[in-house]
Amino acid sequence: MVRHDVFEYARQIGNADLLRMLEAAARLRYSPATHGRFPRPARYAAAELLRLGYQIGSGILVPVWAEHVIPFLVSRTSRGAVPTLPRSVVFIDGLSDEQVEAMLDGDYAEHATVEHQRRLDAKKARYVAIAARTLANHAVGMPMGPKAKRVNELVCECGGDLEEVARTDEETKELVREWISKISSYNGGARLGTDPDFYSD
Amino acid sequence: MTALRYVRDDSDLRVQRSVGVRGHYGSLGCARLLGEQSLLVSYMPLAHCGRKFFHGLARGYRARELTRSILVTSSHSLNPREPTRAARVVMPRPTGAPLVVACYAGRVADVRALLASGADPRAPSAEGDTPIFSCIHFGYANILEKLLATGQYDLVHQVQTSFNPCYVPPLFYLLYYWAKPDRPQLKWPGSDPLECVRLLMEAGASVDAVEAQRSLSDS
Repeated sequence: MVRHDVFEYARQIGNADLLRMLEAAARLRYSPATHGRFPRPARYAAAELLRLGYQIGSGILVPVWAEHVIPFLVSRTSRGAVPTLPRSVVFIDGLSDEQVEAMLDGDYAEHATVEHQRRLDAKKARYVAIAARTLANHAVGMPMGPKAKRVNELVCECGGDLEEVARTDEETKELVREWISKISSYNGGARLGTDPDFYSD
Repeated sequence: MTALRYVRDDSDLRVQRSVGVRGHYGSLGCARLLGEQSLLVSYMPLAHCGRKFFHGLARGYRARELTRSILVTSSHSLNPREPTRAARVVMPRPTGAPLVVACYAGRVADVRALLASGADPRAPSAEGDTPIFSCIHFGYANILEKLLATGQYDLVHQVQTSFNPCYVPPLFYLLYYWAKPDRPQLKWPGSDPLECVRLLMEAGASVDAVEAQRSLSDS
């Protein structure tokens, strides 16, 4: 049999932070004062045992249970039932826009609303960035027609809210539609500044 | 990002043109996807993967030489400047389970998308490698964080993997390789073994010594 010891490995590594972390973990004994320093599953295990103490009795028994019994039952590796949100909520930023929109009417509508708004804001910020970059290119000599310039200025003024831009008048509405189709085909504005067609009216 | 979905065969992929990527990694016929804006991330056996392969993916191509891989589509682009480690890594290469391969390749966005879609962080690859060992091997703390965020804290006690025949938990495995003078896999960009240790400890990894049938160096 071969013995594996993390402290031996840590000494070979020679990292003081690592050694300190491991030694602190090895020294850790459960008490109400050290509860916060325990891993999350162990904290939930302690909480379950505390609830059990309340079920057994009340009054003087509970503090005795918490301070003198639970420390013998809880270690760093104890595992209680840790409540977790569904994966689709925990990793909501990894979902597609369609999946997030589908969640808006579900049980986790609150999370979906926040994420949906975050994505909308990010999209608006992207529109503003592209419009500002286009105007900056125009300022240094890239030709741009007056209507295209006005649309880009409006995008910046409206904070990237294209619907608001389109509400200004019918002519602008059509230009905004073109603007959206152009930036979409540029895959995030990667080719912006190299295509003179973008700047024409 | 478009909806993540699994493609189990090539039938619904429309090929626009083929581009041969030839080199010492082998000949890879690549095909561009039509019909969807998304970039196809093809997790094929990494034995065939190299820098050129991932550069091809970054341009929107995919390898045609798919064997038993499951494809994962997503629209986020791969950074063509990001070095692929696949060609340089000397260790058993996982195949089959996309999450294990994504962990192995250090692709955080893919790991996040797969976990959001319900991928099992315990599921091993065809070779028996598990996601946690695949990322621990390289010290990818950001991926380990995602795996533990699923709430499955028993992952830190998991021991089953093909390249860990002595069956020690991830913390011991990581420290053993960190202590070795020659540890190239813990020097990749994105590798943070100390943060990995911290995450494992916070998830309740045991620091008590363990006894195993064999030494890790025997593996």
